[in-house]
Amino acid sequence: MITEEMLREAAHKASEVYTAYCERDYDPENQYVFPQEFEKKIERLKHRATHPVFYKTMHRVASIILSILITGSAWITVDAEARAAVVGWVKEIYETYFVFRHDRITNTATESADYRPTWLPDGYSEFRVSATEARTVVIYANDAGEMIRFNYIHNPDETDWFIDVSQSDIKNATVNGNEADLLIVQNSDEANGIAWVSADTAFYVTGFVDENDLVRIAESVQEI
Amino acid sequence: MVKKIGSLVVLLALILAIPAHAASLRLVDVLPDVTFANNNAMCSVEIYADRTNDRISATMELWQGTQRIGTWNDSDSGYLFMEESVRVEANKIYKLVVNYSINGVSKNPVTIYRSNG
Repeated sequence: MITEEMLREAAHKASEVYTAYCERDYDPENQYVFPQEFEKKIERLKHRATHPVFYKTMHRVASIILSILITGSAWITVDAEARAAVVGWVKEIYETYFVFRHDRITNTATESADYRPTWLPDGYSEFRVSATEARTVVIYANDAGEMIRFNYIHNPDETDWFIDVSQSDIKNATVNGNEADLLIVQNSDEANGIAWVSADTAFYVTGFVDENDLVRIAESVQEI
Repeated sequence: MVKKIGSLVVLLALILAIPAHAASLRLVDVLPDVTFANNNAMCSVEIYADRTNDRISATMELWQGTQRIGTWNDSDSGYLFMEESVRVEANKIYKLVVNYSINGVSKNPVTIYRSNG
């Protein structure tokens, strides 16, 4: 019968054989050096083990911040007014309208800049300028009575600007790096338009010109 | 027979005229606003059409809940600007509704909300 003592002795011998096998190439002069990254990891683990309260608190703070970020992002996604309050101008589609919304985030002490297009198709000249506190409209006309209307809104207060797009195809475009919307009517007898936001100002140009000329007019707009 | 053909031609002309007229209504833009000073609300709306001869007619209504505080009408060609003042209460939310038409064709009304306080 195998006793417990015999089993223990056998296990001890097996352990010695296994240790001898593992240490067969061991050279005390040339010990294995652990990589620095591994050492750092071990240090971090030790630090974590010795400061459990600090790490638990940090976890909780991170969870709260993450919750606030997720809730805030969801709110901003759903609520256009909240979005406008955070990012300034917001464009949304409401029934047959493009609505440019702006909430009061701009420093009202900042003076509004004046803008004009520096390029227009041949034959157009300034016909009328109308400026209110919020909005500037410049109308250019040619000899045929066709008009190009250049509008911009720089109101630092709450603003809702509705542009009827029920009869237009909407195309994406870029104006000097800013996203823009081309409102194109497939009929040369009708006005096309382009709308974009730049420097906290919403711009909108309409005219009896094609989309290439609209983009060219938009890209030529400069502060005067 | 001639009367029947005449009637058909007139009917056809009317049917064709409606979409042609509606199709000419492009890129109208509307800028409504309500600002408050003391207990007065200044309601305004600017409407631009495409052509100087486009006839714009508009009705501006200010509401507080289900109560209509004021209503105003005006019309002009090419461009319409309306500005009206009315007495209001503090700490209430007001709704401005602008119903308008271009060359007799009604467009979707425009609605904004503003708070006095």
